[in-house]
Amino acid sequence: MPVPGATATSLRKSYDVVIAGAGVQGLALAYELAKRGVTNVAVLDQRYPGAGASGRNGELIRSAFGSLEWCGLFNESLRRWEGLSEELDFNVLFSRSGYLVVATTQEQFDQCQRDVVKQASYGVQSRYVNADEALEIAPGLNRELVRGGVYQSSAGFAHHDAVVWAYARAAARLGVEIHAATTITGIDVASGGVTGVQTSRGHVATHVVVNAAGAQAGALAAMAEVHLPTEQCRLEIIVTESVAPFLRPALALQELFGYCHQTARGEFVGGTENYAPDNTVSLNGTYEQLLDICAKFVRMIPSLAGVRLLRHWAGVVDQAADMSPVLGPVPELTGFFLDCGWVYGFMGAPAAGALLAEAIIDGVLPPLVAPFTIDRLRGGRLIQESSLVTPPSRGTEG
Amino acid sequence: MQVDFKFEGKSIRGYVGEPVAVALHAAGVRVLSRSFKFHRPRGIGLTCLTPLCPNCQVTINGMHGVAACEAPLSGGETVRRERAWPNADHDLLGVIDRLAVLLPAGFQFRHFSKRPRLAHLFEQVISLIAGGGRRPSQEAASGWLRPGFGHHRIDLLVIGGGPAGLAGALAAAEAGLQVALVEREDALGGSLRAETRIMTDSAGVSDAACKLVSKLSRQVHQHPRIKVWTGSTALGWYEGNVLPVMCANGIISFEPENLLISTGSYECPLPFPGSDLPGVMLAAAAQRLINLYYVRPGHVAAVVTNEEYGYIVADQLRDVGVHVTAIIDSRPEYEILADEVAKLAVQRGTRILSDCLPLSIRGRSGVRALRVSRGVGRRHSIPCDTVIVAAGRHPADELLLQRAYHGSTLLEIPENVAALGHDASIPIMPGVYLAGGITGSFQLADAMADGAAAANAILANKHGGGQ
Repeated sequence: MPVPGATATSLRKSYDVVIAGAGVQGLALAYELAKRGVTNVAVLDQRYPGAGASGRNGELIRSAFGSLEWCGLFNESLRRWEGLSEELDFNVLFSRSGYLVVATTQEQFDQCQRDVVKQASYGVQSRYVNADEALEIAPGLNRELVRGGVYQSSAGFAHHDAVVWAYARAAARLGVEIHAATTITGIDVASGGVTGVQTSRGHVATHVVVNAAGAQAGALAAMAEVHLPTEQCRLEIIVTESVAPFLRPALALQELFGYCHQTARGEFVGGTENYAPDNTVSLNGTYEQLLDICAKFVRMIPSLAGVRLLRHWAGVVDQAADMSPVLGPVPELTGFFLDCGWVYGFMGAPAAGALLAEAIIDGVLPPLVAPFTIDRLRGGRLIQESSLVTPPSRGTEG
Repeated sequence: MQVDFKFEGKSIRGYVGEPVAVALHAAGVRVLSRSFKFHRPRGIGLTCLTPLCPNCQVTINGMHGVAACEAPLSGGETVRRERAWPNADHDLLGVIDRLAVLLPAGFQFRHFSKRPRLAHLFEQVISLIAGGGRRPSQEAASGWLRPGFGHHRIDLLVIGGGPAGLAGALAAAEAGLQVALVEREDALGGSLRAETRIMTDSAGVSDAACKLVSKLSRQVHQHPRIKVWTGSTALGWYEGNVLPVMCANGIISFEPENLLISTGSYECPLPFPGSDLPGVMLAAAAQRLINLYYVRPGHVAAVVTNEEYGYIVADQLRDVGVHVTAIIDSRPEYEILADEVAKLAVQRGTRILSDCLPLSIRGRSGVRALRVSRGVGRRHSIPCDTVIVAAGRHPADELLLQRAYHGSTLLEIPENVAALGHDASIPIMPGVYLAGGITGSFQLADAMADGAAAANAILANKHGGGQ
């Protein structure tokens, strides 16, 4: 039975571009390349489109971050999210419900105020809110946990599977081939450039390989003898039964390292993170994390006590020391491009897809992508992003 | 003891301890909720009167999503149905069901892609009409907070307190093991608690099945080495051999050295147009209504079956005054006559339609008639207010399925772990045994023998050492 979204025809012997990974990043890039006339593209996936983090994430979207680099890239993405359904002719259910980053301590609140000032100077629309305003925006939040926060009204969430399907369909319509159940086993290199890939379904000649392999990005890069300074990190998410919708914006609480939102159908979707990154790769939820998420959710929104758990799963992302994506060319290997290291990859896809397509076609790295190259990691120039909902032992201080 | 409770402005009388849904049913309330998307009327229809589906969820004392078929009546509570406007009996949103053809699966992705304002409006509409019950008050919700009771290693964890689990627990405890027995319902005994027909236990004693399991339950309760957790549900089987159990007072997690899964089986609902309406009931649910709670499911019943169990339940219905107007049997006549129990029904003059399948239900918010087809081209309409379905069972093997996925990634689909037909004395995986209905042992004596065999295998393994 053919995999939904995948091409039924067999893998050809050569393509202009081979994209490793049919996640939201790989598919967005494929679409954007095809839109610009580069249609001889194959997206290869070990499993099926959206099988990795793209099918497992919390589907939140914002651009109110604390660094110029992040605000630049993700604001461009947010701009594209607004017109995405229309462009792809598929309702991705982008909901502009707003995104509230909640500060619990005075220190966090001060940081929020600093972030808002920075965001304004970077062209991001946001405002800081005090406790009363935050509780008005997000009724049901536990008063004890709210000192104030940052609110971005134009942000929100979308349906993560729908976005994958939409990009896959739009790309396929333009002639891109998406091959499922196809594992890349080797990358051919000659004279400092990529010449092809070996796969479980045969050899493919190509001069451009894009690493959009998510959790497997490190293993893939190693095939070309490129060391990707990232580590795998396993995250878990739950979905609750449906409750009559009462929470409009997406929520992120730094105090609990937790985030969630309520879908239009009423289900709460979200998770929490831990101090030490979990480097294992099981896709099953664990009991410890389940307890953590449930206890924190009930603390965050007390009226969720007694709501039933519907689903619980895990996904794996690949993250760099500064939690920022790793994008663009690899200097010593012509034709090898990176589109990985994404922790917030879902929200960044519309921009990254378009900008990396330009980079591949024009050979010039767009300014919004330039800060994210592998060079920054090799040169120790880590991006300082303060507004992430992750524990301070990873990432960087504000 | 009779008590009163409030139901949408009315006062209703029921008996202490019986499920709220049963009290409502006895009072004539048939519709308990509306389905999520199409707002079709739902009641204790497809369920077997255990909380396995969302069709009986109501709001009790401000807490939404309470399974009415499980929540025991205490008296004085306020019960309200949800997800309907103005009420579940006359839900204006039921019009969505008539528009079903315009709303196929995935319709939301195909519309409004080029009309962002309409998409937004549509989303607002969905938020208003979708979702489960109203948000509970913090007070109601806080009543649901439970403490954790820690993590416990145990010799033997038995999940499922039917005859197989009971016999297994007893055999193991007699030989000196410490046993924890977990049972989802408030009483031990399993599905045979509601079975009045005569059965024989593994010691050769014959009596009403419910009396035999009751005796077995008492023995288990009295045994000093068996800790019984009733009203407790095993939540899952997590990596690291962790099995958390939700009980009335809190959550406890076990790490068992040996596990006996005796969770029984589920009756298979038969899907046909209208089979989700109130009044279409699984045979075991009907048995529980009449034998545990002394409430008739309806006045005139049609029974749909392909096995002797349907005839047995038909007899029990008849004994309590329900008129069984017809038995629809999908088997051909000669097969029915070869079935001893069915043959008796034929001889008694019950109207039996052989080679007959259900086609659809006539009725909007309940059953008015059952339409059937017989052989080629012959159709009948059988007026009735209740349709009882006995169409086979399948193993309650969710725990096994969960376990099978441990350690797998998306690249490896685990091998199918088949419970049906499994030999109880052989572990299905190291330290894990199956017994009873889950393997297809539906007779009381077989289930008990299974449980004992599993316990003996565990003991032999313990004393003999190694696999």
